[in-house]
Amino acid sequence: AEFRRGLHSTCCKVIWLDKPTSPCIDPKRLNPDDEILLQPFHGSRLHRVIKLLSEFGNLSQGISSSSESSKHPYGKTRLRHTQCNDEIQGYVSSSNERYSKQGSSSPTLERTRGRLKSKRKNKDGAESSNSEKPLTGKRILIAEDNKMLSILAITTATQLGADVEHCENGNEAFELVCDGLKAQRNYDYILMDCEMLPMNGYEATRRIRIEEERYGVRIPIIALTAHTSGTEAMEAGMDAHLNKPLKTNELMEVIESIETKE
Amino acid sequence: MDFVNQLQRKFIDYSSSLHREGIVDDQFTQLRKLEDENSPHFVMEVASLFFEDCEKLINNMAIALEQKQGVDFKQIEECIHQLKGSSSSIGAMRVKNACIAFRSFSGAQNREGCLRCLQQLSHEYSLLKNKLQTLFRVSVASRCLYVCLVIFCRGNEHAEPFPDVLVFQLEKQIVAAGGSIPRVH
Repeated sequence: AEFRRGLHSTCCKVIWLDKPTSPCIDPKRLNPDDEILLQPFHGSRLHRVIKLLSEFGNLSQGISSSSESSKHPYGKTRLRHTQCNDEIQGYVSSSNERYSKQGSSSPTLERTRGRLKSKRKNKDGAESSNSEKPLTGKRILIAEDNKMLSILAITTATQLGADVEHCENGNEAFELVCDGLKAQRNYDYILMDCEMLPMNGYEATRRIRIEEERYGVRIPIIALTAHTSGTEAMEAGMDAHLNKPLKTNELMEVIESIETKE
Repeated sequence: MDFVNQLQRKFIDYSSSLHREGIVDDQFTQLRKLEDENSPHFVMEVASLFFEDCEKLINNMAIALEQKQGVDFKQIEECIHQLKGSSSSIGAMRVKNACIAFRSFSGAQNREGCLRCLQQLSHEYSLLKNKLQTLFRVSVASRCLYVCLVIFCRGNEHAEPFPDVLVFQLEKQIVAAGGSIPRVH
């Protein structure tokens, strides 16, 4: 109790270690958020405590609870899943190197034939949590040549629940859309960077619109520009335009306005 | 036991100072919102990729500017374009602004001006890297110390010996992450 008073702050959770053979801690006298663990403090008990660290994904769950709910990304507070042991070990021992590693591929993305694809799938309970996300079940193509901007856009869209595909230039975007038209399996939205080489977003869009007419289809294309006006984008046949870097709320606003127009 | 408070305070203050000094802008805050249960280290990973990307581009530009037979300004412009995009994605405001300034000199094909800009760009990049790495260290340390180990022994003379080796291991990990452990009994 004296220790607790000395803490002052309310954001410190205390784990009390008690002796199993002669427990001497009275749970009623403790703060309701505190936990009691039995000694010896090693192995699985040590791991459970480490899992409590918000660093490893747990803000408010106790050691004994095993609930797995997850909340909408727009929500203010998030309950987080606990991470697996391997990741904890790996993280703690290499935390200093983590942000200065020399590897050339992103850990959160896989490369499939030169294109980035999001690896961030929901873990257990995917169905229930997916249904809360606004873009669940939507297929989005992101055409962007800058790696960092790609990661940002892919992550943003994935976090909103979408299935995301990525390509690096206008040519590839055009090909992918054509494949989709032939297979009658089209993207729901396309995020198109305007400044790619060799074929930029405007040109790709113009070609897509021509091809689409043969099928009587029109896929919403959202231009991503670096602070230019949207006129050229609209003239090329795009439906909306956003400034880079992509922001979650702006993307949702644009998508909602496209949906209400149709 | 104010050390936890102090570290948390330090993190908040340091983070605010980065915004105040214009090192990062609101986009950095947006990045942190993209962290979730599936990707809890997103910001650090993205920052790490950015450091790699930036160093490579700065290097390429330095080499291009050294070419005796003639500087390929188109290549430099392309590098600047990429770097401007990358820095805007992470919210590295001063790096991004340095790119914008650089662009006008490369557009004018002014080699001297470009060299000066490149130097300024390198400087802003180093500053950003140092500050972000410090921020990440403080962040990890303050979150490690969120869990306080308390050894509650009533009646010290009958206390069982606590496995010091385990406390030591945890302390080592906290220190490795940049935190510090005051002695508590």
